[in-house]
Amino acid sequence: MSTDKTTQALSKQPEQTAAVHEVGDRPVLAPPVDIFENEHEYRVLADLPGVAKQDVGLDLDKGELIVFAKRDVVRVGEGLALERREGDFRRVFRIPDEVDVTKVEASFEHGVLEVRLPKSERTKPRRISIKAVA
Amino acid sequence: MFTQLFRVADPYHDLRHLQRQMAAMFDDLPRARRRAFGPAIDVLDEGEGYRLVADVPGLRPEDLEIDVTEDGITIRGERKPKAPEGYSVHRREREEFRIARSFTFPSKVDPDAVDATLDHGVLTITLAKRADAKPRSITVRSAA
Repeated sequence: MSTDKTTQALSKQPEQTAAVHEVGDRPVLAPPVDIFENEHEYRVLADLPGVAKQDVGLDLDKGELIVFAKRDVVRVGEGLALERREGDFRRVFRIPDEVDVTKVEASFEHGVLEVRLPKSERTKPRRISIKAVA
Repeated sequence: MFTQLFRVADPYHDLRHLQRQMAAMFDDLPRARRRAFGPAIDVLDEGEGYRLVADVPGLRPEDLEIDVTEDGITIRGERKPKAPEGYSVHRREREEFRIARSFTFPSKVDPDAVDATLDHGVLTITLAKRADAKPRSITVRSAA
């Protein structure tokens, strides 16, 4: 699979990183992500500052990975500077077929979510040795 | 002599020129430079003190430097997300950033009563106002 093709497959919303969508009365932010790949796995990292571990959700369904997190920006008092954007986080990725969805793992540290998506054994490239015909 | 006169006749000439130069300068700022303005910060006046909240995902306590005086605060920190070795990159949206922000508070704070915590990528700093800067309620006596 070529690099370009994989990128398209992995990111369903390529240009919507900064977009804010309203769902009900809570705005939804698309978190910035990094996506890496080697021969064994894909790694997806997402910035989710201010989210508690138990409020981070990951859904794998119909070839899609959905990352979502509930975040509350609570402010008391008079605002002298208000830059932090309010809203929940949500982003959807299309997962390449080669990913073994039963082995997906995730960790969350310092407000950064990391998802590891291993490729299934049977789709890994194999080198075939050529036997000399005796 | 006449040239001199005409130039004086347009008193805003120099100002306009400067304005154009400034505009050009800001347009030319590369994207990376603009990003360096860094993460989003809230500053709140809670009456008894101030609260400063900054989204700094991926930062560890040792990545941050905070200086407080009785007039204000300076926060410094840097994040350089690295691509893991041996991986190809499909998407790089998590930005490098450098925080170098100073705030001057409208009233004096007590530099000895400052608390800073880092939790799930959010830095929260609480500062107590100096006793003589706290709001006081005055009871009005009846003159009778």
